[in-house]
Amino acid sequence: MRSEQEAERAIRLYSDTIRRICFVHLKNHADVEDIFQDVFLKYILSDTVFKNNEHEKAWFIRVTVNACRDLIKSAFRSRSVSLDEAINATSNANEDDRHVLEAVLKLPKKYRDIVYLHYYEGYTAPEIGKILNKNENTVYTILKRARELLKKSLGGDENG
Amino acid sequence: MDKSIKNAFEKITAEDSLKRNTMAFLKENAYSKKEPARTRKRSLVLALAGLILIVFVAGGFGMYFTPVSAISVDVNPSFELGVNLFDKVISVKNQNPEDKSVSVPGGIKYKDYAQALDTLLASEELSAYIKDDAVISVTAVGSSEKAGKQMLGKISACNFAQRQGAICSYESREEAKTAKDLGISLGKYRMYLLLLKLDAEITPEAANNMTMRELKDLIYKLSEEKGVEAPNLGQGTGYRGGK
Repeated sequence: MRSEQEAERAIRLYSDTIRRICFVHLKNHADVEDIFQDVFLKYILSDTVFKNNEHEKAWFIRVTVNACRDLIKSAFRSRSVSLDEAINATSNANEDDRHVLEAVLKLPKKYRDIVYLHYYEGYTAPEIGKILNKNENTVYTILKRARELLKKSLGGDENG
Repeated sequence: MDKSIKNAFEKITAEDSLKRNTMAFLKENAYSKKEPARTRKRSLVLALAGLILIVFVAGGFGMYFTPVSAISVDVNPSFELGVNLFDKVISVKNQNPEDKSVSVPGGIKYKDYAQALDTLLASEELSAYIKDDAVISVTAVGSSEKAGKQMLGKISACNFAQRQGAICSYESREEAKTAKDLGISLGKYRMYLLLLKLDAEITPEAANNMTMRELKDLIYKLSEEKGVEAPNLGQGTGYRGGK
């Protein structure tokens, strides 16, 4: 089992990443807390040896995405709030930010992780494919489709 | 668009309370001195196994020290041996009505009852009472009639049983209880029953105050007086009773 110091370091380093993944999947703070507890408990109990921080971060992303999907499928999950409440509760976003986040949350569920990982974390399609265990071409296709949908919602340039 | 998406996500951060709560959760559930649930489950299984073992050992211990049969030895003094399920003597009681100070010979307890009987009857404490013409009555009370007969067979093969004057018999629990209620040893009780057929006025107390030799002589005397055949008493293992 990993030490308390390792747990504190991991919480410090990866909490924001986990929180953002939770944001694209969950709309309830209690669910977010559940995911945090689940992910970090798995981390301290895991005997995986990480080659570097990138490897470790990819592990956290994968475990968090899977935990969120499991929670959504869970019969015990009955808590939900509106989209507005979700955005209000999770960010200190301004009006523009809120508009963007709302557009992301309106994307199909399976697009959201990929959008976040690509646009915020800067992962390429092959990297996202490895982390999420998805076919690279599928990731490309999703990214293309998501971009089209976001452009429609947000307007903007052709970059990315 | 790329930049605006990145900027928007940048605003989403984990609240300090969320981090604190998560760490508190880990401390309570993984780092506290309380063992993790899986270990606790294993400990519970071990504890239960230990409990079963204790119950088993305690049960075995209790079973070892529970008498299931008894052997009454009447020489005057009289002794009662308590015998457990494993044929071991677990108690020796002095039943001599006149002299409770007759000491119980050592080396009797925890022996197989056949060995214990030979040890008891060859002991210094009893040798003073066992004269050449002494009557030694050994009566087994088994948990059942079958058990009583088995005990009798084993007792009859003992060294003491080969001497003149030894009377080996078995008796039912009901008769043993009656003897106990009358305050008389089992060997003397059997003699008393024989005497009762010859002398209706004989009392248990009177029989109890006589030695086995005296009881035997009285039976022979009354039988002769009444012209009836005397029971075969004190001829090796010749007399065997039972229900």
